[in-house]
Amino acid sequence: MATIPQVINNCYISSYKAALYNAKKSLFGGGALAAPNSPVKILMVSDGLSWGYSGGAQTDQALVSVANYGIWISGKFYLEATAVTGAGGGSVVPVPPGGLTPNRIDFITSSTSYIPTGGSTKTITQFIGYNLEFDRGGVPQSALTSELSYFTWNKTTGEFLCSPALNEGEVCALIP
Amino acid sequence: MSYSPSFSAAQSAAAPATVVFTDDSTGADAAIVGRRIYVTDNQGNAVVPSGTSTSYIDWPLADNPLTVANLLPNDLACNVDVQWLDVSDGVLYELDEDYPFVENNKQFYFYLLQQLALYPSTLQDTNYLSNLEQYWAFITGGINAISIGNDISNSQNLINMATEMLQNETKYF
Repeated sequence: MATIPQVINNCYISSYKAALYNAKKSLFGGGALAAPNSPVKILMVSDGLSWGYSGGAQTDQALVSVANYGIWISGKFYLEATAVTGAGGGSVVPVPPGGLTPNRIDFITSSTSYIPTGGSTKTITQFIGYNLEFDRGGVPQSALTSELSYFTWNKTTGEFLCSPALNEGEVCALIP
Repeated sequence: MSYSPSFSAAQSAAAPATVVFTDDSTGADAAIVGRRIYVTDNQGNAVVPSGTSTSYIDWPLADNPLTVANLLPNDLACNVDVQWLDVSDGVLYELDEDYPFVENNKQFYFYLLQQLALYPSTLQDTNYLSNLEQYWAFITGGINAISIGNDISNSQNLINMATEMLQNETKYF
């Protein structure tokens, strides 16, 4: 998800994008944009969101509701803004199209296995976009890092980490 | 190393009557034994917490940052003057800055946007929209009058107009 500061930036950019768009419309005989995409209104929401965020007095829920309102009021200009900042677009990592889930990866740790003995990290590019289950010795592992044995998975980057590091001869399965 | 006085003042958003003062000075001067803060409004009146008998706020060297509760009765454009003192209360260094303290209005404006997020069609009410635009202009104007124009008097005028809208919420919103 886009963060609140990213939404604030994108809304400020949307405001000038909308103003430029209005200027071009006037040039060709068009009218100023009505609500919700007026540059002034976008700017008003941008300021309010910025004030609410920087003060630290507002709840996350309140900030998210106004941030969503800012995205709505910015309309198509928000999409243009994400192209400028590179922030906020594709907030949800899309599942690769095609409908087929990649094959699971099973291995027994050795010096030549998928993750070798003593290893704990791997970048698994074919699983990017999917959730991951990690079984170790036939036991599904927790993703809670507070546990003695756990794993972490970043489905955006494909970075996998398990703790503790794998021992020789462990039966492992990585299941998307 | 020479002493370079510096400070900042920040109004709390959660408790807008409270202001936090931070001494950002660099260098050292062994002669400094105390600090004082003079806060004045646009008319030159002292702004101090209720019950304070002096026109200044004492700022002990050990307290940094200093949180002063119940300082602002409402949003104000203020001049903040900090003095660094020697053992005889002589002023060794002095620095002053103008600040638009407008958190009451900023947070109320955010609240209005929250209501708009819940009921977006309110935007089609031209009276509401016109008042909201005015309110926004008063707040940003109050800030800009100081941050850009160094005009504490007109900043306070704008803040007063915003505060009037805040205090008469049912009339405007």
